[in-house]
Amino acid sequence: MSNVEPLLNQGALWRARELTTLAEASVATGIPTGFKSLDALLYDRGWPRASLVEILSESPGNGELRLITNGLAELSHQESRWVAWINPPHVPYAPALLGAGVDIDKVLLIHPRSHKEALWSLEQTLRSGTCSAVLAWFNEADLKLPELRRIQLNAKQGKTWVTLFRPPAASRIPSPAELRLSVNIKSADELQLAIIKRRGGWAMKDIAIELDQEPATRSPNIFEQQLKVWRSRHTVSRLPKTRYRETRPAIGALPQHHSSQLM
Amino acid sequence: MLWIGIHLPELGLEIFKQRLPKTPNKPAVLALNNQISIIDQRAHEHGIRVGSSLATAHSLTTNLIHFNRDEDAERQRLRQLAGITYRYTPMVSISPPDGLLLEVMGSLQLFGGLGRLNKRLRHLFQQLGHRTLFGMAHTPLAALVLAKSNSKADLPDFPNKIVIQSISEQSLRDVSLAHTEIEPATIERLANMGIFNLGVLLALPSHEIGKRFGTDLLTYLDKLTGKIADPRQPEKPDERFQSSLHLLQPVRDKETLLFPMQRLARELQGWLRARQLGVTRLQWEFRPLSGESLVLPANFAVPRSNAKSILEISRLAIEITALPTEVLTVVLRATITEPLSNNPTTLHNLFQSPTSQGGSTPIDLIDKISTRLGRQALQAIRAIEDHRPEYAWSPSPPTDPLRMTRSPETTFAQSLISQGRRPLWLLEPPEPVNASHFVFLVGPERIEAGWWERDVVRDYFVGKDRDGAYCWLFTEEKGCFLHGYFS
Repeated sequence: MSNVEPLLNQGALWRARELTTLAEASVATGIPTGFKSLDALLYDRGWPRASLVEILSESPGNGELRLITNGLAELSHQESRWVAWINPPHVPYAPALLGAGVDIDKVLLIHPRSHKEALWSLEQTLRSGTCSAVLAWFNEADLKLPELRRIQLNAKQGKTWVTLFRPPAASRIPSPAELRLSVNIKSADELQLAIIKRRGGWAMKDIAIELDQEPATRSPNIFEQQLKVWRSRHTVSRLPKTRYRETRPAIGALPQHHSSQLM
Repeated sequence: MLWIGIHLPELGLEIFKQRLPKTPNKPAVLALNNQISIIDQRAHEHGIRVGSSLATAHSLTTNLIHFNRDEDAERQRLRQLAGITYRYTPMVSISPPDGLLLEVMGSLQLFGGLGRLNKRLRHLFQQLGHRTLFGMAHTPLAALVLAKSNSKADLPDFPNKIVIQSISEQSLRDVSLAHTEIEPATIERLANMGIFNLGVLLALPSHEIGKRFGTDLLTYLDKLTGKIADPRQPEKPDERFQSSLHLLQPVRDKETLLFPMQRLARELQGWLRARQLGVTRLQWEFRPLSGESLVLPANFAVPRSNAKSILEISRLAIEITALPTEVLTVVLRATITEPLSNNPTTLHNLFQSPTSQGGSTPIDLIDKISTRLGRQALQAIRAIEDHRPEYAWSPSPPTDPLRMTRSPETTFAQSLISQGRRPLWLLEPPEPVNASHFVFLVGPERIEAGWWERDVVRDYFVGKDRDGAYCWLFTEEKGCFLHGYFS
C-alpha cells in the first residue's frame, strides 16, 4: 500500500471512482485556457506547460485556434520565449491575433518543405528550450507513433507547450499525448468539445464552451498590462484649477478636464 | 619620394552617373546651392558653364539632368578608390574633394617602371568609370597641382631623387596660379601685380611675399617646393580575416572535417574578440587535390563571436551539402563583420536573458532553422495599419530591430479595432467561391482602399459554410471570395 500512496499524491495513479474529486486533486500549474468550464476539467487547471496536447478538428476553421488563443495570449505576455507555428495551413492573421491579445513580436512562422524537415524543426524548437509554445500541423499519413513519443519527451525537456492539430480520424489511434481533445463549432458563440484523453480523468463528450467576445470577461492581465504601459506613456495634463464664481461659466470658457480614464 | 597625384575633375557627377542603370545620353550637371559646379562634356557643348545658375542651365537645354552635390558620398568614393589602388603602393592618401595621392617610389621595381605603372593606373580608373588627370612630383601638393594643370612631365622609368626634383620644379614654373590651392582673393591680387605663373611667384623673395600676403601663402609655397615637409595620412584598408589549413591526409567524411573547422573557428574567434567584432556572414571553402572546390556560405541573424555557435551553424550547413570526395584544404573567410556593440539586439537583454533552458539563445534557433530550411522558411509577422486585409499583416525577418521598438500605443489601438471582427486564419490568396454555398450572417462591411495601387472595393460578410465553419467572405465586382476563417 505504501508504494501506491506517493504515486496517488503525485497524480501518476488515479482512482476511477474518485473522479469527482479531480477539482481538489488538480494542480494549478497550467496555462489558463480562458474558459472556466474547461479549466475545471483539466488536470493542470489549464494547458500543460511542458507537454504534448492534441487537438482534433475536421479542418482549419472549426474553432481549434479560438480554443487556444487565450492560452497563447497569456503565455506570450508572461514569457519572453518564442511562440512557433510549424507548417500552418493558412496565414495566421496578425491583426486578429493582436485583437485576441497575443504578443505578435514573439510569433515565429516556420515553413518546412517535407515531413522530415518538419520533424527536425519541431525537434530543434523543443530541444533548444527557446519556445514557450509550439503549434504544429503534420501530414497525418506520415506521422508515426515513435515520432509522437519523441515529441512528448522533447516537450518535457524543453518545457514547451506543444499542440498538434490532427484530423478526427486520429482519435482511434493511440497516442502518447497528455491531453487529446476534439473540437468543432456549434454556434456563433459556442464550441463543442470532447475530451478523448486527459490526465487524472476519464474521457468526456459534449462539453459546451461559451465563447465570450467581450475583452473584460477574459483574463484581465493582458489588457491591464497594456493599459498601464499606455498610461505611463501618456501624461494627461490637468488644467490649473481656476476658481469660478458660483454662476454659470461664460460662453466660450473651456470645459473642466479630469484625468481621463481610458474607457 | 615620388608622388603621383590623381585629380578626378568630375568625381561628384560620376558618383551619381554610376548609380543610374544605363549611361544616359543627356547632359548632366552637378549643382550646389543652385549653382553649377561640375559639368560634363555634353553639357559643355550645350553652352552651360561652371558658376552659372541652375535655372540658366535648364533654360539652355530641355533634357538636362542635375544632381545635388553629396560630399559624404564623394569622400566615401575616394576612400573606396584608395582601397583599390592599395595594390600598387602602401602609401595612399586622399585629398578631398577630388584628389588621390600615391607615393610610388618603392613600387617602381615591382611594376617595371614608372611608365608601366602609370599605364596600369590609367587603365584602372578608366575601367572604374572616372576621368582622371595625372601628375608626378616630389611633393604631394606639387603632384596635385601638376595633375590639375595637366602638364606633361617626362620622367624616366626609374628616376632618382635629384631628377625628380629638378623635373618637377621645371614643370611647376609654367603652371598657372588658378590650378593651385591659393585663395582666389590672393590670386586676384597677384594678377593685378602681373603675376600669373607659379614660376614668377616662386622666384620672388620669400620675405616680401610673407609681408604682403601673410605666412599662409608662404607655408603653401614651401610645402609645394619641398622646403617644408608635408606628411600625409595613409588610408588603412579594412581588415579581413582569411585563414586556411592544409590537411596532411585528404579527408573524406564530414565528421573528421569538423576538427580542422574547429581550429579555424577558434582562430576566427580570437581575431574577432581582439577587434570587438562579430561576424554575420562567413564562407568556408573546401578544396580537393584537383577539381572544383566547394564554397559554403553561412549566415547569422546577429553578429557572433563565439566559436562554438559558429561551428554549430556551419555544421548544419555542411550536413545538407555534398562535399567533394577528398578535401585537402579548408579555408575560412569572414565576409561581413560588424562591431558587436552597434547592433541593438545584442545590447537588448531581451534575447540574451537566460529564460531559455537548454543553454541556447533564441537567436540560435533562428540561425539553425534558417540554415537548414533556407532563409525564406522562417518568418515573424507584423501588423500594419492598412484597411486592405491582405496588406494589414506582413512577414518580416525575426530579428528586424524596427519590430521591437514598436510603441505599445498602436498595439492597443489596433487591438481595439480588430477584436472579434477579424478572422484568425487568412487565406492567401482569397479563394473564389460560390455564394450560394454559404449562409450570410453579418455584414456588409465595406472596405475601400488602395486607390494609389489597384483600387480595392469589397463588401465583407461573415458567413457560415456547409460544414458549420464561420468564414469571412467578400463580394467584389469579380464575384464572391473566401478570405478567412473565424476559427
